[in-house]
Amino acid sequence: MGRPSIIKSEIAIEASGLTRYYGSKPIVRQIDFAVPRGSVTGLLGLNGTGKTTTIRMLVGLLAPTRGRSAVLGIDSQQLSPSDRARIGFAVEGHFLYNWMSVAACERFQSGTFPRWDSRLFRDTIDRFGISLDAKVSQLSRGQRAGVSLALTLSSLPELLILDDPALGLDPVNRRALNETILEFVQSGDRTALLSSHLLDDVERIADRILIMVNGRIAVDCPLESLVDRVSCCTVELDDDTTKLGQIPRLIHARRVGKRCVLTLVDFDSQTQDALQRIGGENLSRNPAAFDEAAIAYLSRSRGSESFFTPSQP
Amino acid sequence: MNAYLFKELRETARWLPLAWLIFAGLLYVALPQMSNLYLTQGLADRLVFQTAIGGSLVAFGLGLAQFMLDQRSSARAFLVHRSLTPSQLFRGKLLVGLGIYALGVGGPLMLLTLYLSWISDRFPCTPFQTIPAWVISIFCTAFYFAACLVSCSNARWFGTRCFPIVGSILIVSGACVILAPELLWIVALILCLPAFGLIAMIRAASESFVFASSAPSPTANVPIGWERRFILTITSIAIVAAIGGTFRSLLTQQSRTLSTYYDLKIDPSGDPNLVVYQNTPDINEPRKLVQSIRYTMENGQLLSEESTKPNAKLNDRSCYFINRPKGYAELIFQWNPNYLGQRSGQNYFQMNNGFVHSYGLSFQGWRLDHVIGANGMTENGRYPSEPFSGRVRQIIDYGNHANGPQPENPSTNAIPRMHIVDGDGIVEIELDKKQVRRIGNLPGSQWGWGTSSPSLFQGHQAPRYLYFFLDQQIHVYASTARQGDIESVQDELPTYKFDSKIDVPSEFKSGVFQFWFGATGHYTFFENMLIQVENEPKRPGYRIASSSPGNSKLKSYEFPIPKSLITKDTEVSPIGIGLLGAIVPPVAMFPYAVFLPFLGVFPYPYYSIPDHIGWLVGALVLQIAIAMILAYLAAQQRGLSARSRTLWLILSALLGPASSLAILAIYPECFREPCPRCDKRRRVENELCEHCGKAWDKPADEGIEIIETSSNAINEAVLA
Repeated sequence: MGRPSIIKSEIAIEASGLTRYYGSKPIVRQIDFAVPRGSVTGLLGLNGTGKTTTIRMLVGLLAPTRGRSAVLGIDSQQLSPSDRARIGFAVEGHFLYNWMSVAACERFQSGTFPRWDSRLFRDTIDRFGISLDAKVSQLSRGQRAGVSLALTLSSLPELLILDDPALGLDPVNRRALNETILEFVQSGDRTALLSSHLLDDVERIADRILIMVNGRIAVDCPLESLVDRVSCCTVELDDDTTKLGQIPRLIHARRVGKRCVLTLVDFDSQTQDALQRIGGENLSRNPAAFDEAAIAYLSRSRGSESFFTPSQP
Repeated sequence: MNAYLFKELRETARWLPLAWLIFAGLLYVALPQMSNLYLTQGLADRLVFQTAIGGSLVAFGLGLAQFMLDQRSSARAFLVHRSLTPSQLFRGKLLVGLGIYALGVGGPLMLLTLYLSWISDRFPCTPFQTIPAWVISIFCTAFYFAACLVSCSNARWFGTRCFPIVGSILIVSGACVILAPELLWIVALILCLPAFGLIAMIRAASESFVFASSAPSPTANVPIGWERRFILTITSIAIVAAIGGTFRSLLTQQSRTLSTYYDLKIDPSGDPNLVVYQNTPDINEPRKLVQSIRYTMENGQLLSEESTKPNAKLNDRSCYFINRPKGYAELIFQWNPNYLGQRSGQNYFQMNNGFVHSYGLSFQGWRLDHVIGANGMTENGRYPSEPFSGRVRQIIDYGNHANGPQPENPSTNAIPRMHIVDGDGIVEIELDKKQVRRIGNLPGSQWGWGTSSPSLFQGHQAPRYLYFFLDQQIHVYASTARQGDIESVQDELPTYKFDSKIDVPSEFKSGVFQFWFGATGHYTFFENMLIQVENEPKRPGYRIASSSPGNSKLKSYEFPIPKSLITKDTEVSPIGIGLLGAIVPPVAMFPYAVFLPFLGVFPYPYYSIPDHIGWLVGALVLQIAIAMILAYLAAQQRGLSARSRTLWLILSALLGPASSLAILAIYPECFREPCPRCDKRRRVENELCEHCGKAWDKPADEGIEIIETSSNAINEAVLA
């Protein structure tokens, strides 16, 4: 079977029916999504919802149980070395060989990628305040992230896939990380997909959002759409929260004192009617901030965070 | 690629000192302790054994160090995602790993080879004796690949993950055929089997590294090549056979299955006798003579034939590559005519001044331990006594060797007694009393020594019998030390007393008469004749071959062993036969059970198959039935297709219960979910239901999704 030759499209990453089981448990369930070229896409999800599994399938490190994915038009399971050279991938936890120095890391990486920008590497590690002579084993977590990012970017990839690059970073290093990613993406026709738990960072650099809930894609849209379509209502309700199930498109509900804050998508007259039916007095309705909208979706992965999470059909 | 190789080298080279420590340490500790270090095949044996152990440890450790660390999820991702194919990565690891292995194992072996080469002009050894060890060191790399398979396997540790280790053990054990006393080309031919296993192991390791998903099952989408199937199937058979064999051994021990074995003796009239022994549970009398058949050489029972040429071209003395025994004795004496032999770790030389020097031998070099004079005086490096007037032929035994004399050890005089053979017969020297006593006065006689069971006298390293050839007769002197277990005779020193005389057949009157014992026990060597046990199933018996000095052709006589004697053993337990049929794969048992008895060839030397054929066939049928049921269940559990299931059912009838273990080892776990259309359970990795062909439904929307991508566009793009 030959490699699927796809026409140069505007899509950098595609997934179709992508599914992965670990044992008998489905971790990623029939997901479909597309990441357009030139975009910075944030992949959000709680721990264990399948972000890393999805990313590892995208870069061909993990065989899907079923379904397909492609990056830069190439089937993920058939990426050739030259294809991989076009994809920058930073693994979760910023893995580096502890016995190496930063300079040795660069030599190792540059020797195994066809293109290499030494200047970019040095500029990037400078931004994180790292010297070439430093031993990896003596670097702080933030500095390891810096070296990892520098190694990923300096091969000049068309597509950047970063698995939780900001994990454990302090604010200064996070800012350096975000600026580096933004500058890199904006310097050419480049695409980035990064998973993260840091909503501020994602909001700052991403223009598209993917939110995974229980192994499925719940949100796949531009960041502005998410903010536009999700709103928060504050209502007064009695203690009978079971009535909330009657509200359509309710993402999440939480109680603040005697009031309930409902996060809804595409609020319309139908929603309004449902609210009236359950006797809730609508006190206010505001567009949701990005973090509120994202957290509402994320909370669906963890029922204990909310006194009410609509049951899945 | 160079950067990657450097990284691998830097990571792996740090284990090199440990490899040296393990391998060279094993050689250093073990080799000096062997009693006949340079003189016999023992050196090749011991080297092979040490190399098999040390090489396997080093190879497995290196493999784990290289592959296990890089199989961690993040490490593997970091390593694999670069512009090198996984195959290139594997080859790079292989290059470095095997290079380090070559240094770790080959370095010490090379030093040993050079050392043997350096001393071979002075001592009876040869660097060629290390060749079997070199060969084994190559096969030990199977453990390196096994480590890769173990590391890259996504099976559970307590499941089938470690099976490749068993496969490696089989390969290395199979390679030990290099020590078999057969012709070189036969050995090379048999070596093809472990070589094939090694190649399969390499390919399986490559496949498992390339397609390792570093994640749990299901991995039905990951290919499984024939190499992995082959290794895991063979390994499963070995595991089941080992378990069954242990079980059988326990049961048959309890049922006291008796076995018979045979030997050849020369009776007082000089005629060879086939004697048949039966083992007994009595440790003091582990065997009893049950039958004796005398062969007469005049009544036409002997068959003569021209044997193959002795292998005169090879001159590596004691290396197994010259397992033709004829040259061995000659070469020892060619090397040093004054070499007397070796007893109890001491090497004896008669010096030109008539004194006997005893050297201890270790890897540090030769060490003069004591000097022996004609009056039994021993002093370190001094000659206070009289030398031996004639040639000393052999040191027969040497008491108290366990606490061997040392130059600086005053206990030298505590050595109680030794026997030597000189030109006039046997001399007994009581060293502590400084007394010399001549036991036998047999001037100019040819002599030899032998023992019916050398191991029983290992405690003394003393022969049971001494033979002197005089006037066409063999004068037999027997040791007074009693036979028994080694511990009980440790402190009992023998003396020799006249036992009997044997008339020598006319064919064997010429030449020097010498007994030599081969390490294998299959040969009894004379200077101009040898007795060889023929264990070939089609030609059981003994063969006596003789030659005259300077004649390269051997004349041989065969003593066939009656089949009735071999196949008849009424004491054997039917349980043993039944279990034999129950554990050995049917494909291996059918030829024994069905064909060979009818051809008149005994299938198994100690058992009487025809008497218990019912047990055997019954057990076989039961085994096949159980194997097929187990294979069916395992195939169901692993979700095999109907075609694969049928194939495995056929295989299970041939391979026995091991096939079900092989199924579990080869195929990943299979998980199923109910199909919404046909309600049958379907495999989760199949795009379509194997029962009704329905594709998977997309999970139902919850009404809160925000999807602003055209799914159709995606599907078209991906499927293009």
